Order: sequence, then C-alpha cells, then structure tokens
Amino acid sequence: MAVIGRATTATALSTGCVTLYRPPGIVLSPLRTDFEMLNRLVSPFNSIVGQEPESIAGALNELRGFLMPRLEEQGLPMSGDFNQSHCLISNIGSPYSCSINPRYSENGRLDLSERKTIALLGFLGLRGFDPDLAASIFKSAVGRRGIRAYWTQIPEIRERYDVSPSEVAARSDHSPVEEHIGRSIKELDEEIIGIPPIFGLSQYQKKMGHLERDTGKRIFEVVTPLSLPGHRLQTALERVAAREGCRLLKGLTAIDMEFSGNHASSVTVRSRSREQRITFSKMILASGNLVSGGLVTNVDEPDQIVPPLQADTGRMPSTLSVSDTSLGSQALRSAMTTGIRTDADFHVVCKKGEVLDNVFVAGSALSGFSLPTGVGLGGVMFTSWIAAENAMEEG
Amino acid sequence: MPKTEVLIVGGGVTGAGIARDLALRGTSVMLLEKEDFSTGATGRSHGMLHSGGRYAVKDPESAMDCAREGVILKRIASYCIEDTGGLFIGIEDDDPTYVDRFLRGCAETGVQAKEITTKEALSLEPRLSSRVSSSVEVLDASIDPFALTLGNVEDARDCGAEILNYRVVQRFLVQEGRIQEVIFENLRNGSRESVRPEVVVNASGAWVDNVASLAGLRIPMSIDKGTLVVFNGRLVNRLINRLRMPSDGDIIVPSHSASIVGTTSDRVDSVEDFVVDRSDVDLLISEGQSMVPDLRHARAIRAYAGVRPLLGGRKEGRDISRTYRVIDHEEEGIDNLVSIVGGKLTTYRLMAEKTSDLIMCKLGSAGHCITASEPISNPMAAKTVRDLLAFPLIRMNRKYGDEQTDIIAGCTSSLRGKEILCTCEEVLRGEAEYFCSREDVMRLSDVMRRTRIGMGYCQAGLCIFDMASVMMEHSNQEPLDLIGHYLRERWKGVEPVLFGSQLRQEVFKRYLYDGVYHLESLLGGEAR
Repeated sequence: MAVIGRATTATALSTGCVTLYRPPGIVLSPLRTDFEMLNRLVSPFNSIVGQEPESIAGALNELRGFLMPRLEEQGLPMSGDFNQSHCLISNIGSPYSCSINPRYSENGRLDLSERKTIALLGFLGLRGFDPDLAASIFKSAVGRRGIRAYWTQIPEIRERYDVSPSEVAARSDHSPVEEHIGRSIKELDEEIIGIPPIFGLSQYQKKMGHLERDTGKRIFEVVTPLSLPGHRLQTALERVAAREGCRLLKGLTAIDMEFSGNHASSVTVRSRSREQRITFSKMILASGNLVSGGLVTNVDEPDQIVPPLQADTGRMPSTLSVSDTSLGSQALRSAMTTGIRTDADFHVVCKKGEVLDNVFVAGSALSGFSLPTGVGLGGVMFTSWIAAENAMEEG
Repeated sequence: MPKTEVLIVGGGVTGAGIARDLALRGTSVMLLEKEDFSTGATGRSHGMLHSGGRYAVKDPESAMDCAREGVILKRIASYCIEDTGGLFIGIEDDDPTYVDRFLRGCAETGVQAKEITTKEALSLEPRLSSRVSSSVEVLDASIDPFALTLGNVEDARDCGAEILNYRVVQRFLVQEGRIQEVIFENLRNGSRESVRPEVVVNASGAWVDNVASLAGLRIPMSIDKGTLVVFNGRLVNRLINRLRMPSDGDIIVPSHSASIVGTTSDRVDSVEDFVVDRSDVDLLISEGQSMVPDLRHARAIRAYAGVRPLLGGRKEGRDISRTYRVIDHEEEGIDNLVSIVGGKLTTYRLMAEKTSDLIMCKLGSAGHCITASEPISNPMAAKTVRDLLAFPLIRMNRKYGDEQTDIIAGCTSSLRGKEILCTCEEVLRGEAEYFCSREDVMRLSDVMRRTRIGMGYCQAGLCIFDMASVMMEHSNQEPLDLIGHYLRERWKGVEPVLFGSQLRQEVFKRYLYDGVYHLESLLGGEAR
C-alpha cells in the first residue's frame, strides 16, 4: 500500500475540522436529533453514493470509530457532539479549535449559548488573525454581545512583523511561549479565551493543556484560513497511514496511466529529477480538484491532469442549498463542481468511455465534492472510506 | 446656509482639476461627488497619457491638445506618470499607406514621432509579433488616474477648497434665471444639506445631461462604452498602439504591476451600464494577440468597462471627436451654470483652465491660471526620496506624491504599520490606515483606489479581511457589510475573465470564502 502525493493538500489549507454531517446554516444550540433533520443531513451522501440512510449511517460510524482513536494517538484528539443512539451524526472537530465563523464553534466544548464571557486575544505581528474583526463577525453573526478583543505581544515576534503562524509554531516548540501567553490570559477577566493557532502537532495538546491548567480558563483556537489546524490534521493523518503500514511517497505527480480494456496496470509518475512507472493492482485517485491540483484549467474549463480520464463538470449535490447567487456564475459553478468522471461505484471512467474496474475515485476529485459546495472534510473522507471498501470488496 | 463662489458637481479628474485651478486663483470652491473620486470615466480609463499620435490622422484638434498637455503633465504631475514612451506598430495586413498619413498627421499637429526599423522595434519590445511591418516611436506615457485625481483634490484642499465625496446633488433651486441654491444628500449619514453658490460647474462626465436636467436643460450626449482587460505583469515596456485608424483592441498600456489592453467602443443607452460582455473580452484578447502574441498565455485578472461622455448625438463611437466643449448656459436662460463636456484624461488640465477662465469672467474676478507651471505636489521632495531611498519608497512616491511623508511615518511608527496587507501590490498596513482615518474613505474600494490594495492578481483574495480590520478601527460600519459590498463590486470585473489561471484563483477564493470562512452564510448568500 502506497500513497503518492504531489504538494500541499487542500486538507492542509483547511480549518482542520472534520464534520461528518452538514449543519443547515448556522446552528448554535445543541443539536436536535429529529429524524427529519437526520434525513436532510445525510441525504447529500445518500444521493451521491446511492445507498440507504442506514448503511450510510453505519459507514459514517465505522469511519469515526477508525479515525478518532488513531488521530488521538498521534496527538490530535478529536471531540464531537455525538448522539450514539442514531450514530449518524458525528461532529469531530479538535477540542481546542473553532473558527472565526461561529458555525465551527459548535463542537461540544465551546457552547456559546452558555452565559460565559468570551475574549479573543491577538498577537501583534502575527498574520491571519485580528481579534477585533473576529469579535465583530461573531457579534453580527451570533447576535451575542460582549465578546471582547485584546492584543498582546509575545517575545517570539516582538522585533518583527508579518510572521506566519507556522513560523511561530516552529519556534514555540522550543521556547516558553505559552508562559507569556498564559500571563496575558491571566490578566483578562473573561472565562473563555480564543487565541490564534500557534502550536504544531507535536506540542499542540500538551501546550494547550498547560495553558488551560495554568490560567484556569477555557482556551480555544480561532481557526483562520491557511493556518495550522489543517496542517496538523494532514500531518496526523499521514502518520496514521504510515503507522498502518502505508508507504508515503511525496513530491510525485501522476502524469499518465497505462491500461488495456477495463483494467489499469500502472501509473507513470514524475518527480523533479525523473519519471518512473508504478504498477498496482488497485488504485484510488484522491487527487483533489482545481484547488488542490488534481485538475488543471484547460483554457475555458477544468480538465483532468491524468490524460486518459474524463472530467465530469457540474454534478452538484442535489440537496445542498447552494443558491445561484452564492456561487457567482455558471463558469465558476461548473469549475467548482468539476471532478473526475466515475460510475455509481466510484470506478473511474476513461475518455473513450471505458470503466476501469480497478481504479476508484475518492474525495474532492469526485464531481460535486468541493468545500465551497458545502462538502467538507467529513464528506470527502466518507467517500474515501466507501471507495476503499469497494476496492477491498472487489477482491 | 453655507455659501461658495463656485460649486463643482463631479469628482472626476476634470472636476478635481477645475477645483485646483480655481482654488489656486484664490476663488472659494466646493466640489460634490456622488461616489468616490474618479469612479466614472476617469478611473475606468486606460491610464494613458496621449502623445497625440492616436488622434493625429482623424482628430487633429485633439492631437494638438494632447501633444501640448502631455508635455505639461509630465512636468506638473511627474509623481503619477511613468514616462514609458510609446510605440505605434503596423502589422503585415494593415493598410500600408497609413504610416505616411500618420507621420504627416503628427508633423501637422506637433506630435513628436520618429519612424524606426522593425529590428529596432523588436529590440525595444521583444514580445512584439514577428509580423510587425512598420514602427513609429512617440512620447506616450502611463499615468495613474486615481493618483492624478487625488493629487488635484489634495492640492485644492491645501488652497482652501472644500472637496466632498459621497454627496449626491438632488435639486437646483432656480429663480430669476439663476441657480440660487443646491440641495444635496450626504450619503454618510443620509442628511440633506444645501449651499448657495454664485456659479455652478457641471463637470459630471457621462452624467452631465442628468445634472443639467436638474436645471431644466438638456445636453445632447452620446454615451460610449469601452471595455478593457487587465493582465497580470508587464508584457511590454512602453505603450503599444496599432498603427491604423483607431479601432478595437489596439492599445496595450503597462501600468504598475499589470498590462491593460483596450478598448472597445459600443454605444449604450445608460450611463450606469458598466457590465462587461465576455464577447468584448474575447475580441480584445484576439486583437491584442496580433500585436503581442504572448497575450494568449497571459493571465487576465479582471475586465472593466467605462462610459465615455462624447459630444454630439448622431455619429457612432469612434467617429465622434474626443475634443471638449465648455458650455455657458446663459443663452438657455440659466446665467450661472457652466458645463464641461467631452475631452480626455490627457487634456483634463486644459479643460479645467478653459472652464475656470469662463467662471472667472462670470464672477468678474481677476486671477490667471497657473496650473500649467505649478506642479501637483512638490517634485523636490519626491526627488530627494528617489535619490536616497529604496524601492518601497519610490513606489509610495509614485502612488502618493507629497502625501508620502505622512504615510511613511504611519507605516514606520508602529509594529503593525509595517505589516504587508496586500502581497500582490506590496501595500503596508500603515498605508491603509492612513486613508481609512480620513473623511473621504467610506468603502473598501475607496482604500483600494488610493493604495492599490487588492488590485493584484488575487483580487483581494486574502487581504480583504485585513482591509476590513483596518477600516473597523475608523468606522462604525459592520465589517461584513464592507466585505460584501467590496466583493460584489470586484466580482463584476472578475466574472468576464473566468478562464485559465484566474478561474483557478477564483475557485481557490471560493474555497476560502465559502469553505473556510463561510462568508456565504454570513453575508446571507450575497457574497456574489
């Protein structure tokens, strides 16, 4: 078993929140689990996977059961608001993370409906998080008053400006940065404190735990784009894969696939220095879409990067309430929903129409499975799980 | 009720130029602009300082004006002009007799032009098509229309003029053949205000007829829409014009970090018709390619359309003269209304001079025009900076002229001031802070016009949140409202160029906006 990767993944650029259902808009109250809602939440998967809600529920539960302990072992504990009696919904965000968008705050740890006071603390010179802006968005989106914003300075970035969170993370692993942050937090009156993400995977759990213990407050990370939580999730997932016995080959681009009839035998990959051919018995293409580089733009429309395959434009999950206005125009909409063409079992379809019985497509490489269309990490992981199961079953 | 000697309606470069001209002559001036400065034809132009060459054959009067004014502007507004020089090139299929007519026209109108060999042209501009058959060097230059307008605004203010944006003129109270009072709305707070002017100047560009109608008059205008496409990076060193009768897609202007290709000419009925058609974009790209084949691979980052206010009602777009006219409405029964119509960015100063001359007559005041010799901003200060300091400061000088001193002070006085907000255009937080703290700025696009923040190839993909965060410190507006308004405006220019790399960029932006920030839900589905 080997995984081939090219460069930074969309997962690493994401908020790192895995949501195994799609909440209808912003939900801040604890989840209600009536059946009508369950059907609505599961149906995006249902309509695409073509399976009954019960089996989807089972698969979701299996995926959760697989991921959570393994990620935790790698230092990335995932928490969530589960309802075991139905097992359909699991919202596993990391316990210390939430977004400047309140939608991500609902992870069981940070209940904004509590009458607790919240403060957001920004670090001068650190890119990507402005507590004033975040507090203001919180206020207008949640209608909750009294979220205050503060600024502090930490020694790691005192003499500089424009520091990226990963730079701080690189240094914070070897310095007492959390002591300084802890002192700043203690000076605040509020009970829940949001800070920008600055700890890498290896220190994340330990240092966030220290902060909570030392200050006696609840600390959470305000997830910002292109920052650490996505990186942490990516790293943790790679480690899980390695631990399960998978080889990780990075820096390789798949440029061609060899097949005859309905069966593919090998893929040609290119690194910076050479090309090589990798033979396989089964392959899953999880190469992402336009955002992550699995698709390229071919003048007017997206195209598949591996030549013999077909691009599939414009399959929109039917149940997602994506209005016309929000996705701009037909060109953007079809670019965003484009993926690799498959049959109902996720088998890949070639340009001339052959269905390859040993090549499967998963994740956002599937048409319609893109973050902007409302399918997040949970959705794409779920398809991977199904595709992998299909691959295993077909012996 | 406040009084002013002269009330100017319209804050494009013409209005701002008139304000500066009159203020320098010691006249009391108020200017009202319905949006931000240079949001009409001024800001939607090529940013081309004409040598006159483009009009040498067809429109000699405009050519002569451009030739003279080009020289003057390079002297008085050097901070916002990049003196790139220009090249007119003929392609194999073009009319071969045009070169001689062109050179003759240039000689007759005082436009400096020198024919060079194709080999010389290709050494100056390596990206030119190998099908170039004739080349003429001229003195065209690239000018920043936003910086030019703001320079005039600030200079006029320094001389005591009151220059106000986001003020919409609603009514003229006309009595005894005079506009006695002008009533306008302040968009910042919705209040109605009024002023008693001695003379009113209608310098509202494409809206000149609308403003005249407030006094019961009509000015027959032809509204001509021109579409332009902005490409990432500089594809050419100097302005490139096609050596033929002016037509579609025959100008390429290197401007800041981009190249602007234009233009089309379509008659439209409404002055608000800024919608860009994809067919116009395709036309510009295919025509532009015949001059610079690399355009096919270049990255189009946005398209925009401007409405040119052209004199006269019957002729079609390109056949209408680009000259201007100062209209005294006394004969039509309004003693104290003057309109300025037509013209070009390059001749704005001359138009302002002629308009101001008439106004001084009406006021019965003495006072001569000094704008042909008095530089906008202090070139000495600019020279010192250029000699002494590094690239970012030269860049700031080009954007801001004299104002740069205060802006640099703001950027360096605090840690946050030095943060780079916009990496495409290298805009520092201090620059945005400086303008956000000022009365003129109400929307994020106002900051953009002043600093170039968000004008790069990502079209504010990431810096939009930083812009909002800076703006919040100086405004009570909801950041989501600011962001939503800005995104809707930008989208108009991005939608027509959704192909190639820019399509991918936009998909990535949607990943951030909808997938990560969930702006879609926060903005109530109105992000786009």
